[in-house]
Amino acid sequence: MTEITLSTRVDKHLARDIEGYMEAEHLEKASAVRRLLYKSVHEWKLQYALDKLEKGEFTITKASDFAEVDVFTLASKIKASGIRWVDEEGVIKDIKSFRG
Amino acid sequence: MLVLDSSPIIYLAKLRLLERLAEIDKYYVASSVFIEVVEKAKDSTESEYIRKHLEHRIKNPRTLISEAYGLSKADTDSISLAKELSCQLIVDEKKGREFSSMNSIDNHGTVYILFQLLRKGVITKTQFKEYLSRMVSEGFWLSIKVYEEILKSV
Repeated sequence: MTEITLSTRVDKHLARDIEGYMEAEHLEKASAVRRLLYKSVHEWKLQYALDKLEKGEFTITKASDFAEVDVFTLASKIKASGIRWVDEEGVIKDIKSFRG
Repeated sequence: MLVLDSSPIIYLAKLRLLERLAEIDKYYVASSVFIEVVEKAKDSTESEYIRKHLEHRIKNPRTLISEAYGLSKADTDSISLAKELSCQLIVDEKKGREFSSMNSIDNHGTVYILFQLLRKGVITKTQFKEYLSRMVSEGFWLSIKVYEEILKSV
């Protein structure tokens, strides 16, 4: 994988927290920042996908593709977050169809 | 004849109802859907059960509808396959149902499958209620109002 360099400025408080993380995890700065970035981007993608699913803008497979998780991992996140993802208008249509 | 998209497979597999569905109707899945629910999900407890029940039901659509924002390839393949086979598509998400309706495809959701299993006598009313409850506890979100409407119907 091709790697690129990212540079950014952070405030002292965040810098202290990163140093704390480096100490606790026995990591040097580059590895620590890389690991934190991977984790937060992964979490953001998952949350974004769940939000889109709840808004009716993504399907489950689209959400799982976006979040880079399999559909059952996504299903467990759906269960844990309790999001409203099922098209209830469609369910009402199915109820009417059953009642005839 | 039915085409199942990913969401009904996920929840029918959790209920272990795919073999019961085979008792009342023929159903198929697009290969890209099979990849999503089996090949990419090898670590899940459901993947082997799904493989057993779906691997002889895979079909590839010959003509594809155009892709749309919010839908995966698996979704558009399911819609294409349902259109090609002139059969019902089972899908639960708003995006999937809207897009299939736009393509003049008769679509229903997983709750409809439970209704059909009940209507054909494959499951009892008591089992219907248990399956619905289990589905909701697995994350198949329904409002209390709609949940009660479903129960009133059976």
